[in-house]
Amino acid sequence: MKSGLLFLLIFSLLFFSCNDKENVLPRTNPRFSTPSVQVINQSEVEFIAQVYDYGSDEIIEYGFVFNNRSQLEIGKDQVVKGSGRPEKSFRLVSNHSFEISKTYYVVAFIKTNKSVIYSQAIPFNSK
Amino acid sequence: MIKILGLAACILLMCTPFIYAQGQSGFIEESVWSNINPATGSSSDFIVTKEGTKLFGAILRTAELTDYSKVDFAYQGNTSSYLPTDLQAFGLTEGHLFLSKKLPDASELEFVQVLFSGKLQLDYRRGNYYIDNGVEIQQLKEYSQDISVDGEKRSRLIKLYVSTLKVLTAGDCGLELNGLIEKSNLEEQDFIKILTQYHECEGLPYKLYIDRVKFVSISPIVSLGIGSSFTNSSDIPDNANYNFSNSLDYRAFAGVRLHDFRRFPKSSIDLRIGYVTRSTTYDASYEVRHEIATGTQKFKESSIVIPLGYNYSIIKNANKEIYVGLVMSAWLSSFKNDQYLIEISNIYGPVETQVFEEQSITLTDNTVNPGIRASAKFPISSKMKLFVELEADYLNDFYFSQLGDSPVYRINRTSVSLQIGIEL
Repeated sequence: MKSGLLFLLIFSLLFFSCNDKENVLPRTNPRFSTPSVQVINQSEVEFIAQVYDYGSDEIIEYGFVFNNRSQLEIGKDQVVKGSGRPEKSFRLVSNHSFEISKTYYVVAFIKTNKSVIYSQAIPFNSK
Repeated sequence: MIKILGLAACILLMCTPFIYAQGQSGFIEESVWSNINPATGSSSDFIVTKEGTKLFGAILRTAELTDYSKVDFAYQGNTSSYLPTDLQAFGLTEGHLFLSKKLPDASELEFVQVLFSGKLQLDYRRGNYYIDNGVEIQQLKEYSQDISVDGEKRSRLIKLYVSTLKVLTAGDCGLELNGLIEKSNLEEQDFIKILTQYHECEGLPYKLYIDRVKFVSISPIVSLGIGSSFTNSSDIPDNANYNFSNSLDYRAFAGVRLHDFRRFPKSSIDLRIGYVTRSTTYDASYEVRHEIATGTQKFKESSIVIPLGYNYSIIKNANKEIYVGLVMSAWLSSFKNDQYLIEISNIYGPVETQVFEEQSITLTDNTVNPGIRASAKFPISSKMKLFVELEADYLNDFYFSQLGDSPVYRINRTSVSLQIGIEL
């Protein structure tokens, strides 16, 4: 029985001394998915994204940036957006005259009081 | 007439020590070697006192079941210690039989294990084999001799036991056995084969005692446990960091243990198959001049683990066994991601962050890893033992991590586990 207690003691010592305690840089921005796209017709396309984590920064607006190039930026490309904090799954419909059968790109974005966060760009084909 | 009777009495008295000595050798009667207790009809430990009384009881086992310098014998509630001078013989439930004998070059009686009895008796004591022909006990031995052949030094094995056996089995049967004797090695099974063939050829009675002692016992084992992992990396860049949110894993094993080897009772070998699982979140960051990259990945890790272990008992008796062991384990691992993201933020210029759905960590599918263990085992019933095992396994280069364009670094994992199990 004493041996058993000794094992438990050794294990407890190892258990409490073996957690990884590295200084990983903290994140305060929201985290969300790459958008998915549903092309409705020639002028309407629905964009959807999922929020994984709202973070601790204040969210000002959210939306999608799209155009026929992959390097997308608010202010330079087409934007569809909403204000304030989005739903866990946010979706917006663009009303834009897309050229027929052409490749476009879209990114989701959330703007906070500290920065703009973009998702990866994904391509889609217009009708 | 009186003179004749007196002479006969004198001869008988003078021969008494000789009769005692004869009792040590030759074919041993069943009344001595049988471990069946007539009162219960089942096998039991026993002693035969110096006076010839046979008592059935319980002998406290030593770790080496074949090595006794004294015998602690429990009989009718009392435990007494007996030295070789106190007993003619004793036997164990497992079938081991021991006689008190004075071996060559020994100054006093010792407990010697009898492996084979007949006209010639094969005995064993502390790694050495002896043959007893009723007149003389000789050790069966060999030695190496350095010789020079064409100026080159070589080692030659001189098998002294070959000539000993040839002399002791001299005769027509011995001639037939010459080839077998010459090819033999200094091993129990070779000697038993020679002696068995010799006695059968001569039509002499013989008895083999080790056929009732198992070569090895095999027991199924099952265990459950928890483990805690800690990690390190030898090639992680200075500006990179990582953390696992949860170090705890859960594990279950089943297998077999080979133990109580006839010649190596302190050794045991076990082979198991088990399942180890843990759910954790891996967070990592990497900082360079112009950007900060962070990664997060939630995953469930599952491994089929096949450990092969060799254990050596430090303490082994009827009440407990403490052993230490070396383990080699095959880990067949996979993981299932719940979510993974890498974020890269510009430090200079417009404050922007790009989120990528990419993995920041992968693991090695198949690895073979060394480990050590220390264990304690206690009987909880006549057929069941409880064991507690503390084991540490080292999984070299188990994970690989990369954040975006950062260098790949390897992470080693040390898993310390506590398992509680049953041996049947």
